[in-house]
Amino acid sequence: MALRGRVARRWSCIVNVLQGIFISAGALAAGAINFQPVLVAGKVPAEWIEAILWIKGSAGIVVPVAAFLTAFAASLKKIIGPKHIWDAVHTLLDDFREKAFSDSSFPHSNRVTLFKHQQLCFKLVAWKKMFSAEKKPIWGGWLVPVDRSGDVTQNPKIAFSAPKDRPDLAEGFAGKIWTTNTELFVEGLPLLERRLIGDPDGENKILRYCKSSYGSVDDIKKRLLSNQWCPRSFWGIHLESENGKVWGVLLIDSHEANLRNRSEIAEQFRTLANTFKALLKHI
Amino acid sequence: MATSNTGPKSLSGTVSAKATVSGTLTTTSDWIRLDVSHLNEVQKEEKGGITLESSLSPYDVPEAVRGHLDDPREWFVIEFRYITSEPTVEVGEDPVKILRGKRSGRIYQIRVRAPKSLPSEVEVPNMARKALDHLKRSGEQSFGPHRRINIIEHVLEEKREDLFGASRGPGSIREAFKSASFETTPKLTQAPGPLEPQPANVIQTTESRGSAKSGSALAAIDTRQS
Repeated sequence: MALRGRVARRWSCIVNVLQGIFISAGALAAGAINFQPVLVAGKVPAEWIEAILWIKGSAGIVVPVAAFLTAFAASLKKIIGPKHIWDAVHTLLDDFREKAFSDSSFPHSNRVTLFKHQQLCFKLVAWKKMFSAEKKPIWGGWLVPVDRSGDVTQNPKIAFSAPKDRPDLAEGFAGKIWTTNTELFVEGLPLLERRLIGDPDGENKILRYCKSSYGSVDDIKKRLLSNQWCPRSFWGIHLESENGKVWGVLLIDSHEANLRNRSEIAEQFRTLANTFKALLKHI
Repeated sequence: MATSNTGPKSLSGTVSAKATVSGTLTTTSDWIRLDVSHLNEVQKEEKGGITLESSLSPYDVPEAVRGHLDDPREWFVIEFRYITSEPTVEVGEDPVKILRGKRSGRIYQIRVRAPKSLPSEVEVPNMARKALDHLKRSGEQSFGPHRRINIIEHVLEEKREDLFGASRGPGSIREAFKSASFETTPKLTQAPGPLEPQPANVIQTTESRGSAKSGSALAAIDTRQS
């Protein structure tokens, strides 16, 4: 499932156009209901009259369907959020990444991801966790990635369980940040590779990685088996929107073992906190 | 952003730019910039040979502090400025009240009633410290990391002289309370009324952001008092 921010940035225009089409179709069909051919006979071509009569005949279906689709499109727009806000958020993430990794030229392996805390999560991973031994309900509270810096790795198949009533069960580094409302940082995590699975030393390495990054062993092994890399350093912070409400988590992950300018990252965040606050209340 | 250019003001002199925004008469009203990285101590935890570092969120560390007298001049207000603001609730009882963030529990203001006996510059910080101690112990009021309260205590100690010191001369807390005790009608030669609208150029100071924030907290007090 694509990131919400990406969906908003890419599909907002299309949803707008579709909504316009639905409204027009509904209005046309509603207008055709009272059409009387005798009033315009001889004044307009017969083909036109036939077409309007056809529309009139199908108005009973077209009007309610168009009304439903218009409402659906409006809801969709509301869910995905305004495109200009997402554009601004994405620019902010890119800028933040640029400052955090000023000397890096690998945007795919030095990323800034925005997680939103939401009660419901319909991502496949959440469904899987609900029906697995973990039994984490999709309505239990989740940290869901909604936007990420750069243009690559924009379809993360992740979501971290973060129940409000059981914060001790929060998953992952993002979950830990959300629970503690602190600034967390870890670096020098072991380099994990697929071949480590099954090897005693390798398993030990994976275990150490999971302990330090608050990850689950199963999730990490799944990542390795699907040939995804595991970050070697993390920095993260919770985000507040209006009135001090915790909105979600901002997470930096990197394949580099050391984040050299960690204090600068925190300082950079201080300057952007109010901008985040102003934008996040809209999405 | 250190202190503004207005400098310390005496009670009988004028009203600072920041004070006028919230309609509050001030003494040591200039924000004192705090060294955030110094205040926010990093805690390190070793896990399997890997060091995990945690520190208070930047939201929770004040970036500036100031002390001033509230308008009826019965309360000395120690005010903390953070990167964001939020609605506040009042906890504690007379003579020390604390304004905390409604959701976060961050300390935005400590309000200390003017002491009658001991020198103010000694008594006010002591009363504030006792209130903070009480806040730490109180289950109901101590939500949020205790490290935040420790930071507030540290700031009060570190900036004691700037906030309360007699060395500030006419702007000192002692002088302020003296005036409050003996002058029934303050000699405000050029001072506008507390709620008098201000010209735009007065508000456009280097501290306008902080003033706006403090204004919301002070407005909350004003509402309660009215």
